[in-house]
Amino acid sequence: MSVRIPGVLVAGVVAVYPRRVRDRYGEEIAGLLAVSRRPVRDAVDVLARALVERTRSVEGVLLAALLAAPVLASAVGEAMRLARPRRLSGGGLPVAVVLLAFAVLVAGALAGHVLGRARALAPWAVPGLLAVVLALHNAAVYVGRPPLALLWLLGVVGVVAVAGRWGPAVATRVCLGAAVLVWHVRVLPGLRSDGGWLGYVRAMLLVAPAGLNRGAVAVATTASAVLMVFATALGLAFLWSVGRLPRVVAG
Amino acid sequence: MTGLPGFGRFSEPALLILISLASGPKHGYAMQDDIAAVGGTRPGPGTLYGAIGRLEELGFIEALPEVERRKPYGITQAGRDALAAELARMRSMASTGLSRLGRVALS
Repeated sequence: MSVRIPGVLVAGVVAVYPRRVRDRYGEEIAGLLAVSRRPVRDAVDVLARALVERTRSVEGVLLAALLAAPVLASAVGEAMRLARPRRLSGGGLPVAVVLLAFAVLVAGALAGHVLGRARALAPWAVPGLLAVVLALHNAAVYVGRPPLALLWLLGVVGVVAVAGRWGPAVATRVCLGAAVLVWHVRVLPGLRSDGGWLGYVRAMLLVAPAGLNRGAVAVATTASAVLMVFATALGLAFLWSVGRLPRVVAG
Repeated sequence: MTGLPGFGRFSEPALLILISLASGPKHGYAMQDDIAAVGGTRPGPGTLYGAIGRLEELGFIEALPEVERRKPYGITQAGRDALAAELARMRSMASTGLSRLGRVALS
C-alpha cells in the first residue's frame, strides 16, 4: 500500500535545507517527494541530505573558529607565562600532548574518511595536518585539559572534513597561517629565552613542508612525521627511565 | 580530464546522472526512472539533487528552460568529457580485474 507524504511534512523536510539550496532545488525536491513511490525512504533520504547541506553551510565559520582557537590559546598562554613565569616556565617535553595530537589526527582523518568528505590523504593533507599538530602542541602545553582536548578533536575533524570539500588551497593555507602564528608566538620567544634549538628544528620540520605544499615534498613531509614520532618515542623512553613520565602526563 | 574527482561516496549517483543525461535532457523524475533502469536502484530526491548540485557547480550539467513547470537538465561538453574519462577508467579497471580472475577481458 502506497503512503503519500502530507504536504506540510514535505514542506517541513525541505525546509531543513539551507536557503541557497532550498531556493535553487527546493521546489523540485518537494515535487519528487510528493509523488514518491517509497515516501518514507525518500523522506529520510531528503532529510539526511538536507542535514549534510546544512552542516556544509556553517562549516566555513566553524573551521575559522576552531583553527583560531589553538592560536588564541597560545597567545593567552604566552601572556600567562610572562605574567606568572614560575608556574608556567620550565615544564619538560609535553610528550603526552604530542601523542594526544597524533591520536586526534588519526581520529580526525578516519572521521573525515567515514563522512566521505576526505579522499585518500593527498600530499598536501599531511603537511597541513602536521601544521595543525604544531598549533595543538603549543596551545595544549598551557591549556591541555579534557574539555579543551575535545575542542582540539573537533578542530581537527573539522579541518579534515572541510579539506575534503575545499581542496588543498584553502585548507593548507589556513593551517599554515595558524602554524606560523603559533610559531611566532610560542617558538621564537622560547628560542631567545632558553636556546631551545631543538624546539626550533622541530617547528621547522613541521611547518616548512606546509609552505611548499606540493607532491614533491611528500617525502620530506613523511620524513618529518617519522622523525617527530621517533623523537617523541625517545622522549617518552627518557622520561620513563628517569621517572618523570607520570608528572608530565599529569601536567 | 580525470573523470569525477571529489565526489566521494556520491560518485555513483553523479555517474548515473551523467549516463542518464548522455541520451538527452531530462527532469528529475525522468532521471529517477532512467537511473532505476540502468543502475537497478531508484535514487531518493535528496541523493539525486545533492549530486545534481555538485555536477552543476562543476559545469558538467546545466539547467535548461522549464517545460510544463518541470526543469530539465542537460549534459555539457565538460560533462561528456568527464563521463568518457570515468567510463574509460572503469573499463580499464574491470578489464584488469577480469583478466586476473582468468576470464576474458572486456573488448
